Amino acid sequence: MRTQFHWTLPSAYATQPRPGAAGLAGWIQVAQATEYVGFDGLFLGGGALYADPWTIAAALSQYTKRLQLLVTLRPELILPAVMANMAQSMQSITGGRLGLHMDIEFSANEQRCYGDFLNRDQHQRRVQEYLQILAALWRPEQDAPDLFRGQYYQLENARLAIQSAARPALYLQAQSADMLRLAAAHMDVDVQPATHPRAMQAHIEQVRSLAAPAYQRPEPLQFSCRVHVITRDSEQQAWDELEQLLQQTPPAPALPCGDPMQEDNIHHLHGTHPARARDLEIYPNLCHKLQLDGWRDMSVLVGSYAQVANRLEEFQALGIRRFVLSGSPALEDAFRIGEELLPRLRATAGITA
Amino acid sequence: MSIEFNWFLPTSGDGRHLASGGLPKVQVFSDGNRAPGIDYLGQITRVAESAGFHGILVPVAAGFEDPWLVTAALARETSRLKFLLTLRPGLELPAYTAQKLATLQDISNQRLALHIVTGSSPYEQRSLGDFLGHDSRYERTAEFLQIMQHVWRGSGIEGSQQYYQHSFNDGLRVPLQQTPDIYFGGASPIAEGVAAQHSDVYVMWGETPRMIRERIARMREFAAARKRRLRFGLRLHVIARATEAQAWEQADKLLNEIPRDAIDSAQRHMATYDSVGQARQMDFHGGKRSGVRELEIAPNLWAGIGLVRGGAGTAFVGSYAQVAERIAEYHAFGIDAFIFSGYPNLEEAIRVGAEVLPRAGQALK
Repeated sequence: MRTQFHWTLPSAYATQPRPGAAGLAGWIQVAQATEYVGFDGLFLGGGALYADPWTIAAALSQYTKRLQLLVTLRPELILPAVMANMAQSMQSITGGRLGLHMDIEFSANEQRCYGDFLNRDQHQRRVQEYLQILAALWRPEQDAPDLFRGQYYQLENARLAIQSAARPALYLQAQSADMLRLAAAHMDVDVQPATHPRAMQAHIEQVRSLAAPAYQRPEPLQFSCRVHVITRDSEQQAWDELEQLLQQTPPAPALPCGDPMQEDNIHHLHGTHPARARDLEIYPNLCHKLQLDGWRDMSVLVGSYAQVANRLEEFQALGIRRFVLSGSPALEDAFRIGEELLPRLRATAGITA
Repeated sequence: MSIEFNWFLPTSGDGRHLASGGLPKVQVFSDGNRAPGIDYLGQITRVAESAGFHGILVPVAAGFEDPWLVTAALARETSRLKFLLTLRPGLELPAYTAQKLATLQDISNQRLALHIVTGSSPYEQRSLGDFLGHDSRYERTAEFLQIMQHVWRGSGIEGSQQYYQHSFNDGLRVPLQQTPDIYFGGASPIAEGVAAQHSDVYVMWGETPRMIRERIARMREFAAARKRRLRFGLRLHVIARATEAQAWEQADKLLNEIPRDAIDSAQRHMATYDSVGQARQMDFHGGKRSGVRELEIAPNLWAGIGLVRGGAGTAFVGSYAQVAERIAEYHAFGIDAFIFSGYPNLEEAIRVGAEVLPRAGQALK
């Protein structure tokens, strides 16, 4: 199974684009560069902090030919059958390039922005119903009834209106044990932020043990990880770059909701960062829980091209077969990673696969 | 006062036959059907702009490509054309829809209008997970629109929170450079109330002059009572040709090629809708395929389309000059926006743009 590499669109509201590169014009450039240098797909974040990824992905589909479009969604925003139909339409429009990334973990802050006030347990039960409905719609061969009467969702005559398109791959990101159990039964691709390889390995093993299939998977469950990358010719240049980012007065997170979002343990750049960037290193070349350039809770690989490539190969050896990478500025770094890292990684991936 | 002419984007398919697009799906012809691929839809969009239309209506229904995604994909095909984006409130959280629209307004350079509809088929609504009855759906629509305005403008009445729990203090805010005009479809009493309070353009399917005048008069009162002004739009098809005879010949051909059982099956399906507007359209023909001129319910207003097609079921049929006269006539009693479509939509957009729109301009003078 060939390893896939995806880049990330800088579509957060807080991202400060260069003049002339704002909005769709800038995003088209990033998408076209991403496709040109050989990435497999483009990841679009979603939620209160981001411009809507479905809209952007539909627009970008007309400027790209091959690139997969991984769109983020929180389940409370759209009824499940409505979303499944929307996904089918996106598949028609893009020629089958949609990947669906569902952010299913409970988040009181995120949910409140949209007027959703379910607590953790309620949210989890709702996610379970949501995934069950998607399964019924997307895998009708499983003999699911076309009537669903849940606590949060009801459905009758459940059947997709656009049948011809293949369903999108479902990427789920879950951390808590309960959510992982739910996710493991439904997802095609597991997503985790990059962290210490031992922790990543433990997560993979946990998911494998939970993924006793409720159905016959057409393809084996895949593992992916997300990581931001700061990489240069030399190690020192890369760490200097991170140091500089930490020193800059960061833009205030553009939170479009009334309450500030409080997250634990994130190293905000508003004055509580450590003396040196290297103090954040939890594993060679890996820092985590950083907030950079409007992105929160990022894991970051910092090092020379050779070092970063080595780390990614290590992750690959754990079983990670899809990488969602990001970099800033997104356009220049798409070329940088595409030209310096991808050829190296694809060569070794060919050997280890 | 100038008239706004809009065309229609057939996102479930197009073709030469009455059954080629729209719902219910009546598969009787294998030829002359055009699938709603994004390339073909892009062609129609470009044609609508070059033909001189103000905007294009992007519909919503089961099996239709998603109107938001289609609009996002096609916005940059044009630079002037507005997109009348159909929205059925209730299937998403309003703050999310408002956020989506803000992204799409940016992408389209502020060329969006919203066309609000509230669902006509309980079967279809339930297949999407919506079990509210007719009147409750309209109540929900009103709340939905209030919340969206608040997300865009920070203003709006903090009214009833029966269907949504949006927080007016902590909720999402996505300021819009330009809020879209709200077009609104719905013919029942409760729909009229919601439209009078929340919409900018009240849209009706093509009904007789007498019926339309009555509705406009009533809606003007409702709006005035709420200290608001409404504009009025008419949604119907067009079969216009160089001569009256040619136009009726075309209507006759379209009608008579449909087999009787296809008409019966479509009628049975439409009878399950809980839409007042749909019932009014069906009253025009009573499910009977008469001679083509017998379905002319007012001069140049033909109800034959509604025998197989839900939604807009009437058409202006006549010579270019006659259709232009009808446009001027409806304009005189209050319609200043038209949303036309034809069979097929690409060629008829060219024809109507070239032959009818200029004559309508003349007829106004």
